[in-house]
Amino acid sequence: MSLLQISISASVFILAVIFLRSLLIHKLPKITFMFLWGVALIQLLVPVSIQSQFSIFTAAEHLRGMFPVPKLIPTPESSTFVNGTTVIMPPITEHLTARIVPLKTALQISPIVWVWLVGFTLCALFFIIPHLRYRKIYKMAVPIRNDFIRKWQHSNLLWRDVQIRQLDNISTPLTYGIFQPVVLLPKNLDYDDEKQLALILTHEFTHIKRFDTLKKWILATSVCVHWFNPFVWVMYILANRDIELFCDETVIRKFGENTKPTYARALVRLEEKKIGLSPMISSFSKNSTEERIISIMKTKKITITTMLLAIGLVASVVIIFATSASDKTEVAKGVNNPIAEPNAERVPALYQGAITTDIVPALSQGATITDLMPHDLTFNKKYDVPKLIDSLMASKYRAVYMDNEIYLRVMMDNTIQISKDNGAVWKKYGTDQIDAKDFAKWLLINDRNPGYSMEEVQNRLANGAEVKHLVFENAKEMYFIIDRNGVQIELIQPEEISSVLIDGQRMMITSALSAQMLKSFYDLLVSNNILSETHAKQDYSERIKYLEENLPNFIVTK
Amino acid sequence: MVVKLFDSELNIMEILWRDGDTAAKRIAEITKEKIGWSKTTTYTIIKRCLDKGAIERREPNFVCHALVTREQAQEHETTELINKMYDGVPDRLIASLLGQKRLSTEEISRLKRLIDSME
Repeated sequence: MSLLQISISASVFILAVIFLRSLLIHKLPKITFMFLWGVALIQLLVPVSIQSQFSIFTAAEHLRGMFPVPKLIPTPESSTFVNGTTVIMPPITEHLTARIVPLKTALQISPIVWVWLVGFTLCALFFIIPHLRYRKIYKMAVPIRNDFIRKWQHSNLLWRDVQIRQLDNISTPLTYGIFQPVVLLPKNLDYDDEKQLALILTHEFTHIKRFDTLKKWILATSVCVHWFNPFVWVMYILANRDIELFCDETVIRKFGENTKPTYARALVRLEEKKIGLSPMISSFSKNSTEERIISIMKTKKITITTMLLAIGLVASVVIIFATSASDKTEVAKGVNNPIAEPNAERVPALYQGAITTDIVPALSQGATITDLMPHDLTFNKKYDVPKLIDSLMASKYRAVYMDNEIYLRVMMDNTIQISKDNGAVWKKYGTDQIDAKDFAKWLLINDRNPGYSMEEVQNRLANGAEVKHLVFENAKEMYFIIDRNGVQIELIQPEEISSVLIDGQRMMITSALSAQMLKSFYDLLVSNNILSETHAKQDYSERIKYLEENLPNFIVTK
Repeated sequence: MVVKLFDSELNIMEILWRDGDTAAKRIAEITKEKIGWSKTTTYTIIKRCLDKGAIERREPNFVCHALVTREQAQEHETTELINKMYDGVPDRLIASLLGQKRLSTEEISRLKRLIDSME
């Protein structure tokens, strides 16, 4: 999943939170919003997606299936595509898929990446330079000699050693430093007003206890990474406000509700001190101070009802907006199951056929093309079977395939050999060449259940991979995607036939498989010196065991 | 001559007025112990005093000599407070970019009325 995709899907969640916030900011405990912003930050900064069938993206896919739109070729931004990028049979934890980074090398940094880097750097400097400058000034603060503050600090010891100092260049109290926090109080504060001092110190100490400075830096990081996304900037501003509001709320809870007016007035007094030369007001600042005061005045005890409401709301917002659509592989598992949805509902046949015929005449068989793609279970090279692929690459062959009728292997020079007598005699087969671009499009449309990384294949096709095509007598077809990364075989089957393969990218098993065939496949691997017998059995039996345990429809027939 | 000095600068001056001419190194030792400033911080402040003409530097050993008396030094009326614009945390900076300015007197009194009405 690319940064842009992450950014876009997180934007949906951010928008939902902004909407919720505008309605309920003064009604819900502030921790609700802190939590929601936290989820947004995880979405933005941690490249892992959690799937859910209640996701808004799942719903979007269903809608798309019901109302076919002409020319609906999934674009990189669309969620279908996003889900197409990852597939994944385990050993990865279920429902948790790691995103696959496109096959880009450091050598070819595209202009877009450059633009992003420049933006990122500028943005980071924009945060860091002023910070360093002001930090230098903050260091010039002097100790405060005030009995009340000393006593207060003694009765409010924190884990970290906190210094309270005074500075004449500031007008409002502030805290800086994550690990060695320093509270700075302005010189023109009324140091005799002990009530106000206690409120201020409690406020600043609450920030320190909660590592709010760190939170603000994480927020700043998200802005730097997603600088091109205006929603992230809006989130940045609102989340920073909510950090303050949450802090205010805590202080009021601590001092009791009757402190609300005192606290709000103290805030206004501090604002008052800032009044200087500029008479200009922007609605933004008006909003934020006003919002804060209203929020303070409206702080209420948290009742069980509001708490439950908040939890329910958070849970539903997160499930609906922060998860990605459930993986297509899930649907595929149900294909042999009578309850499973008919394919047509997901993939409108008419529209499929039309486009397909245009692009690859060989496939104009009338039937829904999707039906011709086998329902396979794929083990991905990167995570699942790296060793297996490695030993394949070390052998004389680039891919090995087997079904009921043929054995097939792709040689090092990409020629294709087929044996129809269980590996006794191998004959070289001729293929025809297919245009990689046409094939890329065709694949995108037809393989709605890619048991491999669609994104990776598309990248390879776009970067000069060659596509060879082989048609068999019974309408079975094979496409070979070939480049220096190896071979990948795409199967087209008129009816579902059992097959097993390993190529340079993955290991694949179709969902109906016999024990006999599996045995023959081991033998094929062993006789071609790809794996030793023990290895073959071990490697495959682990996968099969996993499939049998986790996929109810998967059976190895005796 | 009247020189406006910040608290930090006054702290340096206090040392010079009390102890007479003092080497910068020694000042840094004193401030480190009494105020908790790092050497760099103290040197930065000494430099500001030099720039303002409050002290002068005499060689060898960077000895600081006060050019103004206690009477001539004035506490800085801090009209340009730095965190009017920026609080050390980046949000104020962003806010200022978006045009956040100080509240006007009318705004302040409106907020006060708001508090009264909600009380």
